[in-house]
Amino acid sequence: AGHIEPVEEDEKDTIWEDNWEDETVGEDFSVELRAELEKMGHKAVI
Amino acid sequence: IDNLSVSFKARIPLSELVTYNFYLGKKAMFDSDLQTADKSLEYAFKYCPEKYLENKRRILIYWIPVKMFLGEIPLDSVLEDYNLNEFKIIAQGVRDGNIRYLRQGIISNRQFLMKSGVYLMFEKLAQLTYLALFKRLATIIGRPQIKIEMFMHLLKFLGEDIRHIDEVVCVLSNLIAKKKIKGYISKTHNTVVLSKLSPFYE
Repeated sequence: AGHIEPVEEDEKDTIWEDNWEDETVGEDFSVELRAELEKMGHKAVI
Repeated sequence: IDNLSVSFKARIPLSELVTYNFYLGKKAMFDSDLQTADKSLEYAFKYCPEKYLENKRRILIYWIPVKMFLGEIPLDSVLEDYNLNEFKIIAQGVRDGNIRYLRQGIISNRQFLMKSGVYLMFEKLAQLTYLALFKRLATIIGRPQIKIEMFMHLLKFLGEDIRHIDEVVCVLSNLIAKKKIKGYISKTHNTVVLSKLSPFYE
């Protein structure tokens, strides 16, 4: 298919976030949730 | 069209292949065939030339929710490049498990989402967001037993209208049934007991 223009190889990888499931992502939100749980009296929360 | 011989396919103009894949992907999305939708929309996006920014934007409007269902989150920079700032708060909500952000994002972009026909698709992202929130809770707790009450408390804290613990049990049962969470619910203890080895599926 000669008419297909070349596409940059890495384009696919630059659209979606890498490793977004890492624990460090959204850490602020975790801190907020933890504080809320502690407020509720869940002493077992680490 | 995939069954056509290579030599024949080569004679179809690229613009028509892109258009075909766009509509194929869109239809597959409405039919909940996410794999086909992803493949077709990826093709359309990849081969749609950069100069047709508005067309690429239209492809992304469908491709993004499909990808999010498949567990991928779009980069903020991409959303900015294609003037899709509407999706930012939604993407962040799904990524972090912040159901409040997801709901806010959907409400404030209701017209846009309705017009694009992806409103229901985004509503369905709530389940993924619940899962992300539950995973976050599991990490905070650090134990395999998680009190359903705690999850309920976080949902309410994030603005969900939950009146009874059974509603939360229902959410969690669904996630277990859909093989998103490995574990079981102990009704007597009102606890989710997670599998000790890899409680969440890939």
